Amino acid sequence: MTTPPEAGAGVREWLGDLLEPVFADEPPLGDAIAAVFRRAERQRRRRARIVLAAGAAVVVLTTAIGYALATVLPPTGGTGLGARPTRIPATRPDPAQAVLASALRASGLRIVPHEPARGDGWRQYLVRTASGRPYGLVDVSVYAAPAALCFPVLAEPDACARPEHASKDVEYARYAFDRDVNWQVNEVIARRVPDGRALAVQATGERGTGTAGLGRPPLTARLAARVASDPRLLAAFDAAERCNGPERACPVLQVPVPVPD
Amino acid sequence: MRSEDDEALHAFVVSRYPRLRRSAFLMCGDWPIADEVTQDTLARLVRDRRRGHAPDPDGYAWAELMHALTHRPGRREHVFVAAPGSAGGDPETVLVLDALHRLAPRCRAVLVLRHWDGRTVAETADVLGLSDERAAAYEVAGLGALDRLRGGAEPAIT
Repeated sequence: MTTPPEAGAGVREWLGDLLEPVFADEPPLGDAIAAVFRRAERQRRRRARIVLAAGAAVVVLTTAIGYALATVLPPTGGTGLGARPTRIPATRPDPAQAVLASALRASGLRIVPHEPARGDGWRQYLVRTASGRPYGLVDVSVYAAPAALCFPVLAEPDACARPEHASKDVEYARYAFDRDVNWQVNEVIARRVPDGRALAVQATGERGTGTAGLGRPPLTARLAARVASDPRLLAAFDAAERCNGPERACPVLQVPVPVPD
Repeated sequence: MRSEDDEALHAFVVSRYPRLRRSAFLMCGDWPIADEVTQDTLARLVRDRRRGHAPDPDGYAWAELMHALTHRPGRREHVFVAAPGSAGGDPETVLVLDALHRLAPRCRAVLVLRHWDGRTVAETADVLGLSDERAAAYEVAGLGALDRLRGGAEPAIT
């Protein structure tokens, strides 16, 4: 039996050399490449059907609620006490929630608005497992960011981190807090260069579980970065929305976004 | 007739499929499952790229593949059995594969990405959604456990 080297580049050759003969038995690819594209087409059609079905369901539900309210509620006059027009809640889907739901779908997690669910420049969501167990919170907030945003460095308050780039237009920095298993947080600050807006996505694991696994944030740092860089998430906010002022009811971030008030 | 983007996607799938499938095989020890997961991963990549998402196709593909293989429902530990007389039947190789499949999925994923795919610690951490420190710790633990398992000195870790 060969002895493994201690560490470093030698280990790679050692393990690689040992594994290489395994692939002598590798079956041929066959029509695997064509199968990939057939499967992609099936997935696209299935998704389109789901979207259509969901749209139809919303229409039916809205109609049913409208009909029920119109027939069950007594008519209100203009002179009675408390006579107000009945307002049917809007059923417009929340685009930010849709982006987050899409990112969480692979892990089987569900996301719903968490009251108070939204305000000027921020949204808050609760994440649950498929069985309904709470799995933490996701906060999304937007900011007007100056041209040279200083991405914070946790260890050095006066330093600026060198951001990563999701594309030529989007730069971001990510922060992970997992020392305390009862309060684990993944946060990403992303800035869209062309329009000078920044967005923070903070995923907080369920607090006080006592275990690292159960208290893990619903978004990994990688997934949070992917979500924060997704142009649809920023587009989910109106252009005038921002969390720059200290008086606003915006999320309290583990790493505040250093923008002017 | 395919568009230019589709041509590029097709070329990407053709070039990455074999490598992804081999990584998947090292993760699961089963060629049909490796094929299934690889095809599903690349199909989702194709679908998402056509919708204008997944700006980093390599990162996307490996991250999705590893996520699928480290979170498989009803996962069972797999003991590799090579075909009789095949090169894969070399006792040393069988021993290493068997030990690899006894490691915890994340440890195994780190070793496959680092020592088979040749990624750096930072790239490995990014693919698996871990901090660099944690990926490095998994690597040290995985190599140590792998060596012990090959020697049969300790029971398998799960």
